[in-house]
Amino acid sequence: MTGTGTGAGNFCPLLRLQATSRIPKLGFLKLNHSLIGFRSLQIKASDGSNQLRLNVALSDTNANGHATGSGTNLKQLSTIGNSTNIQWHNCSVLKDDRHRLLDQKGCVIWITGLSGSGKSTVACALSRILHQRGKLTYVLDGDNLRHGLNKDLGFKAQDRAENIRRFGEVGKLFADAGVICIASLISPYRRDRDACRAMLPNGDFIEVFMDVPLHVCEARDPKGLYKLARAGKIKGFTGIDDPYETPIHSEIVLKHGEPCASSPVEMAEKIAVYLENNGYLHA
Amino acid sequence: MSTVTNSTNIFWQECQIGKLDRQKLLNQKGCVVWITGLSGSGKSTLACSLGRELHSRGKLSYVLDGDNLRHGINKDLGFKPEDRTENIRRTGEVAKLFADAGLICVASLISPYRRDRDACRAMLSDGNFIEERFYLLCEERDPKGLYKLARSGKIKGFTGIDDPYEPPLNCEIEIKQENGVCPTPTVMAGQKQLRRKTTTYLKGRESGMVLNSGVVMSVAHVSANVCQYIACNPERLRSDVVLDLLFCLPLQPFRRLALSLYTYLGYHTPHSD
Repeated sequence: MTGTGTGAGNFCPLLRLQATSRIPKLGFLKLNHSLIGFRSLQIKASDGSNQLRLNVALSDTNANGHATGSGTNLKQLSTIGNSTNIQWHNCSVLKDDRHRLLDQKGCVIWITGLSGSGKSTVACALSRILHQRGKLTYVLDGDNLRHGLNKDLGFKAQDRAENIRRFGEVGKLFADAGVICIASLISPYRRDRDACRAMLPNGDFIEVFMDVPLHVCEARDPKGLYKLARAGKIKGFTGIDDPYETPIHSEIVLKHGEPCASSPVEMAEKIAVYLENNGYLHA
Repeated sequence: MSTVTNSTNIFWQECQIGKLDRQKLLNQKGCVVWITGLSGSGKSTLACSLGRELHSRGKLSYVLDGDNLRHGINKDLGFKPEDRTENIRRTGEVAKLFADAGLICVASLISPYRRDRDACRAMLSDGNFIEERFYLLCEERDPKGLYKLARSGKIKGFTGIDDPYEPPLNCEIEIKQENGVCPTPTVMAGQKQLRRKTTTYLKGRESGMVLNSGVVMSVAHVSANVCQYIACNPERLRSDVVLDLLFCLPLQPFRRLALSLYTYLGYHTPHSD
């Protein structure tokens, strides 16, 4: 008996598989070759005059529903960036299971704006509103993460880009876990924000732009940073000597001075209403 | 205003909704279960099973798999010692965020260096870090074919072959597993939600072994520990005591009945344990 296998790799060997026992008229046949890595098999059997041709697709699950091999055997080892020989591991608890458990859908609310525009304030207010409705949220604040995960990053352009990338990745993990993640950071570069948007499934990235003019932020100056920047003590400060690229396709724009969104709580309500309308507050 | 390493002029932002509020909302306490071991020891499988186990009990958990993270946040890192350190650091930080959010974070990565694991432990407040060492005959299994590649010299600096693995000195749980035949999936008696379909049959070398009954027991022990932790019991019992109480207690009356029957019928009573 001979068989050809189409492997998961780039080769297509012809294997001569010997039956290890006498071939019964009706029964099972044991093959002496491992079939790991094969997706399909074409079996040609002949006993003199009769020919049989079979196309067999090898599924990656046993009859009882468990994965064959170690489950990930049929997938390729891949190289992503600098990480070589890595393999994606699927988990049996899916995103939808967590949505049902929490009665909400995970997403990332990305609040961007100049320093002092009120991002953290709105983030906290939103977190409180959603918590009162029984939803699980988590605030990822730019400054707070720079105390932990991003403590090795400064404020140079490439560091800011890496900061935003890591925020996006962590936000993606939280959204996958079913948590409504509220990221509040300056994130001045459009390209980096769009890269984060691309990381998440459509609609799960909700960009909120705090449209507050520079002079208002400077007048507020809650941390005294604008004063230091104007005095030349801080270099590369966004809004003063570093650019801020205004978002073009934000889902929500919170404009300063608008009648229906004048306080942080009202602004947060506006975001909560958006979430409600788009189905994120229920499974 | 503070300066933390490279980040200058940063402030810590406080939020009204804190860890305790989320704990109350989820009815669980966030923590990190850190599963360490050689490549191919079954960490990811155990992590997934644990995740599923916790989910079936209505607890929110999330698995941070070393390989999966290297597809995302850690894709700029390689396998040099400093990259491994950074990988472990970042995973620890992310796990800390998840634990703060109230989730039970199950991190499964080789994490070969003791110093880095201890640094992660230090990051979290005491008791929130549960370290497990998972020991298994890895090279024999070689589920990803990496040991073969490493032995033939195609992969350099592979943990266990040319890069050291420093086993933990004081981990909370150590799971040692003997290779054995696992004929049937085991179903935990009296616990419908523990119905687990994670054992498979060991059939020669064609299909790899995923879990056997020994590992199922190990997961049960781990779950017992984690659930106690989540329930914030003032007194922590040993996991085998918990499992004993859970399963054997309901059967005690039957045992007493059997003993009294034996006595009545004049048979030798078996030695009481």
